[in-house]
Amino acid sequence: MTRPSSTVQREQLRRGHFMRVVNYHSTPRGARDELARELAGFARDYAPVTLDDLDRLFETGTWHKDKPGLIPVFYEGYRNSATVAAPLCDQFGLTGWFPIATSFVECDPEYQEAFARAHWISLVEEDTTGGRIAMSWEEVAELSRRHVVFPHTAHHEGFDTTLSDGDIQREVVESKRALEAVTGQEAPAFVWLHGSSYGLSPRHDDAVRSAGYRYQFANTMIHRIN
Amino acid sequence: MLTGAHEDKPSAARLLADGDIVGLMRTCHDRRLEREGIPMVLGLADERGVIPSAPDRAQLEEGGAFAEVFDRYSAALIPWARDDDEGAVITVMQVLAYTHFAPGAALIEEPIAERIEGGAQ
Repeated sequence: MTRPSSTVQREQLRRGHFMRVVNYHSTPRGARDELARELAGFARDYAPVTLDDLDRLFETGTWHKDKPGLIPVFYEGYRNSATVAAPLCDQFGLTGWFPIATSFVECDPEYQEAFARAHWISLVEEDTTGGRIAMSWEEVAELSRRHVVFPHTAHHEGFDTTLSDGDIQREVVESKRALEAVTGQEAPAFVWLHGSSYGLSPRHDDAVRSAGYRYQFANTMIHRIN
Repeated sequence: MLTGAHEDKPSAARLLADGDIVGLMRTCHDRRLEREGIPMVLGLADERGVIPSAPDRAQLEEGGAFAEVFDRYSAALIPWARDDDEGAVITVMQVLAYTHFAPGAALIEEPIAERIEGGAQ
């Protein structure tokens, strides 16, 4: 188990074992032009990272493209991740990675604002002007054809609030099944609320590994676990 | 222009040139997250075994430079932290990423590291 620490981080950097990531949340249409400028800058300076690219980096230890890799990550499963961010990724040739709180998508649009406020999903003004806030399952399926989609638990939960066996089943296992049923693909990664690392709770580590996830994303590192 | 630099505040480049690492941390944390991403540099850990050594010289040199900056920023921001204080590690890595890989950010190179060292005294 690799627990986060300054010593670990320093050694990973020294060995050349690192990846650039940019984390996004709601990407409202009103800020589309600014997001476009930012993503265009990243696309100019960095190479896209597909799931195969990440696999190869872990297998060889070497990044194989001319420019360094960069992963833009769009969290939570907002509708505007599908309607604003993903088309910009397509335009600039970036591969987006989309961690999705699957129960947010499942929630009746009438109650999605309340779901968000109940589960630490931040909203901007444009999100609250009425209508659906989360992606639809159809949008999730469409995204998965060109980008990487994976569970961010079901209800946007942290490992420290996922306590019972039933909680673990719902947040870790059923979220994966729900996503895979829609995309027809393996959900290759998992991330807890707050980006907690693998190695902090053996019980939760076992659950994530046993569910068959290949990677766990965290705020200090990307763990390859299967 | 550096990502996240508000028009009425010093740019990250200016703060970096001044060796103001605390100012970089404040600017990094004081951004409009509906309009700007959060750059991060994440380590890679293989829980099944060992990741092979990176034979690519540029990759190793860049990682070495990042590690050096990580140490300098840690000394400036988190001398109080335990080695395994995850929040402290994240804070330093956020400042590192914000400063050194947003579009147009300062390249990670020796003259900049020297400038930081000089300015942080």
